[in-house]
Amino acid sequence: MLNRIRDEARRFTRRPAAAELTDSYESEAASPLDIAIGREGVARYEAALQLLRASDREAIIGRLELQYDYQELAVILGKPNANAARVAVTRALARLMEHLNAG
Amino acid sequence: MLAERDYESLLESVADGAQVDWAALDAAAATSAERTRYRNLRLVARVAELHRTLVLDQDAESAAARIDEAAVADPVAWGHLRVMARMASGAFGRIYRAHDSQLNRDVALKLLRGDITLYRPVDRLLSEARTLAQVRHPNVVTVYGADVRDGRAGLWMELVEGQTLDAWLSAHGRMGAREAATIGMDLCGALAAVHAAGLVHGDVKPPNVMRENGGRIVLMDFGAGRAQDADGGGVAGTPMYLAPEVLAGGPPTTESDLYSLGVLLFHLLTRTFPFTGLDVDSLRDAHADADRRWLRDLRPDLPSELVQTIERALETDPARRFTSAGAMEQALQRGFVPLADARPSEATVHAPSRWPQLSFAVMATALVAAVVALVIWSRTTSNRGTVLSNIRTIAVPMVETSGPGIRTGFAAGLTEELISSLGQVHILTVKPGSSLGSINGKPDKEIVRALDVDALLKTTVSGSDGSDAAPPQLKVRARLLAAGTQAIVWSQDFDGPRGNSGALANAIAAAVTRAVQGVLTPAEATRLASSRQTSPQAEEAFLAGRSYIGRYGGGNADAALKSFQRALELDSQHAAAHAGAARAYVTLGANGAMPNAQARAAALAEAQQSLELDPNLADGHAVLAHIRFVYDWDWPRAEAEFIRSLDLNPSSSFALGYYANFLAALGRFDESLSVADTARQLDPQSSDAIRNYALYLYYKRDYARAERELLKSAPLEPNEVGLPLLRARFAETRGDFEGALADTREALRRSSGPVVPLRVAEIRREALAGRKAEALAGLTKLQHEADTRAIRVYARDLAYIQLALGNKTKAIELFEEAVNEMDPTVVWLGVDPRVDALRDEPRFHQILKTIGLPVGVGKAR
Repeated sequence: MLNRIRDEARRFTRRPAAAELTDSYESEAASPLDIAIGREGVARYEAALQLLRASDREAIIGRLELQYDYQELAVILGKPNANAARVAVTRALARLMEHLNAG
Repeated sequence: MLAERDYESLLESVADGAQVDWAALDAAAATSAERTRYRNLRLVARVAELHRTLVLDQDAESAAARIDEAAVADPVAWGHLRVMARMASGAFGRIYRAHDSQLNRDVALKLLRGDITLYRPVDRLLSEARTLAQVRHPNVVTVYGADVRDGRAGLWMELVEGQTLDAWLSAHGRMGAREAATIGMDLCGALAAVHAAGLVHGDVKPPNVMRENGGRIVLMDFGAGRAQDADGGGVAGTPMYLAPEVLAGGPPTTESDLYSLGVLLFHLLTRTFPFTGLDVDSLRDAHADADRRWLRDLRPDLPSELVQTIERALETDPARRFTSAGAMEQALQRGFVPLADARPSEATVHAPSRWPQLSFAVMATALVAAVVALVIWSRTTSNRGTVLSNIRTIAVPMVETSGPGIRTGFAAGLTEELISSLGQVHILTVKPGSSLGSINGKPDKEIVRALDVDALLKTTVSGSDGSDAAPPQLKVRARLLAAGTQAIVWSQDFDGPRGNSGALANAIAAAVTRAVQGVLTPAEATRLASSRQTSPQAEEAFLAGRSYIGRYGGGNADAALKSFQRALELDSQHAAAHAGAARAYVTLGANGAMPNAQARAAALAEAQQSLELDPNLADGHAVLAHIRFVYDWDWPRAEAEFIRSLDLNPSSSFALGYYANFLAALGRFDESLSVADTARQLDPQSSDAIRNYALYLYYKRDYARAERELLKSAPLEPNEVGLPLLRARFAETRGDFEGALADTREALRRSSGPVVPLRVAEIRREALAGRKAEALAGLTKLQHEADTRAIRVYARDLAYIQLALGNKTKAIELFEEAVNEMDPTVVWLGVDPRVDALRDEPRFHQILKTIGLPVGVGKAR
């Protein structure tokens, strides 16, 4: 379910903001977010995400992308309380970083 | 190298979207591997940030809604209760306003989500009800009953209108001694009643305390409550508020409730906690190490009696705390300044005597952030008039939504509408929506400081979907929060039918002007009085478009265009939607997403139509001006439109930015710098505004000042790509081509994505630095990719590269081609120092003449 919302949300982040007030040809054709993150950066994040186990992936997507609060996340992730959800997110993020740092 | 615990807290900051000083981390990294770790983490933080600022498309929202609906549909009735409206929803369930026809009264109904009734929450809910039903006290929410009906567990209780203490804190910041002490006494009374019934609450914390309109404090949500003699078993409640003996696994007691109350009061006064930790374990460690904050250190201004009372409640040893809630209330009472010498503000008057009459309202729980109705809060009522009349510069944080039926995109679009309505009032200066991009959601105090404004216009919008009898309505509560005192100095409610939010925004702008004792010019009054009704659906689409084109939505031109088109399908006479579509086309053209000729034609048609429908539309004039400038090279008409647009809305950062570009391209540098300076002051947090200012100095060939100005943007966004890119240009002017190349590569590294413009810049600078082989290899690769249509490379890109390689004739031919292609960037050729090598070429003069640019501007040193 999370993935579905996320895919919907995603479609609109792929080609983000236009550099409206820039004049220089260097920055005009590239959106600030393209430059800020870059397709390659987003691809690396995605790849690392895919290496995680499902529960970790849900924790990352739920918190970082969909901005659920920990209380809501606790229900989604099946954790007893908000604090347990917080710990789950931190640990999932640590594992995501291991993949990113290794790759 | 960061300690393990610090690294964890860094991860948590990223997860919570908290500020991280990446530059400091980068600088502190001992090894390149460590630096890579931080950069990777920053990448993740950026992805999260992107999602935070993203306004979900309607499809996405409805996808979320579908999922939600699948779990639980809103019932029409539940048992003997008729369900009227959904007030809030959270992870465990939803809260409705409902009508009890047997007793003819409105109640709050809390229904558990259908899919989670299988485990703990049902028992929890029923025990919550049993617990509460035993207690009757003005400061404790009255529960009428609980049951499982139609297969769903629910609990119905008294409606309480107001907001939770934590929502209040987020809106107003920490409290003063008097307010906190008053709340403390009320809660002592509530706990005394709870304890007298042989119960403990177990989860005393700000989200579980409501402040009703009028000031009554109500303790609610006994989710973690239990009978005093029950077994412990597991930790319930919120860790920061839990007494150490409960954290250690012991059962909650009357003493632990008083400890939690102590933490609550500590939090009201400081917005922080005596003990903090990342999780229960680290919190236990903090208690064990007595690693804590002291109230006296954080608030030296508080009366000693109050500090002592709270610290006593926070004693680690339960035996050293107050023996009862009554004893604690007595202590708070003693430390309380007598009422005679300081009148409590409106908000703190608590009136238990009135309580039986108070029944209508909304109930909220820990899951609900804030519910409508704010209390006018003022510590400085005496000089409110003076404060108001001094307000001239205003920022508008994102409109808050309350209740169901208001989408994020709608709120963001409405915010842009408000900004543009206020911008039309000449005596007011309004910060652009983009200025709040990075600081939206921060405490009011920080926003005020960062933007240097006199006041914030805070707004809450709620709506109803309407029925057969009544059309859907929109209701907005607007408040002015003064910068100096952080007090709400003005508040007013507005409402109107959906589909006319422009009129609503205009009405608010006019009322704000009156509130700050300003006077509208007749023209402004006429414009603000105009209103146009459209359908709620067209309005929804239009506002979503606005939010996409504005910074709140990430400036997504594609999605913006779709939304505006949807609005126009529903209402072809929507002037602002035509202007919005024009702006989206211009942006798509500039981004290379659409061929120039096509972008121009579409944008022009939309802009003209918008102005036919509404000749006073500032945005319509601004976008038409931009089209005349970059595509038509029609300087006089462009300038007339810019001036008209800025006359209609002097605070439009969009018009200011384009106009500054226009003036600079024509070599009118001093005027350009003056306009750019206005834009810069309007948005002091914008590194773009600062960089543009530096860029115009560069075109003016005032390189030393340009570099100095550029440095000012560094602290705002230390890792931004634009910074090294512009620095590279400056290095080039000094003949430091290796330096320029290094900066360009730094930009490429920061971008972590080899976008075409950056690759072009790199190849150019390789050529300039005499690394011809590298440059040619890069060029070949670029052209190959362009040929296979993997990327789009423009004639002007190749022109800049050929010039750097020393092929002047080839470069001129390519620039000629760019002119034929109507490339909007050729307007810069008159002033761009990078083409100075061509300034003596007759064919280049011809190019400038074709565009209509003055020859020789660029040579003025």
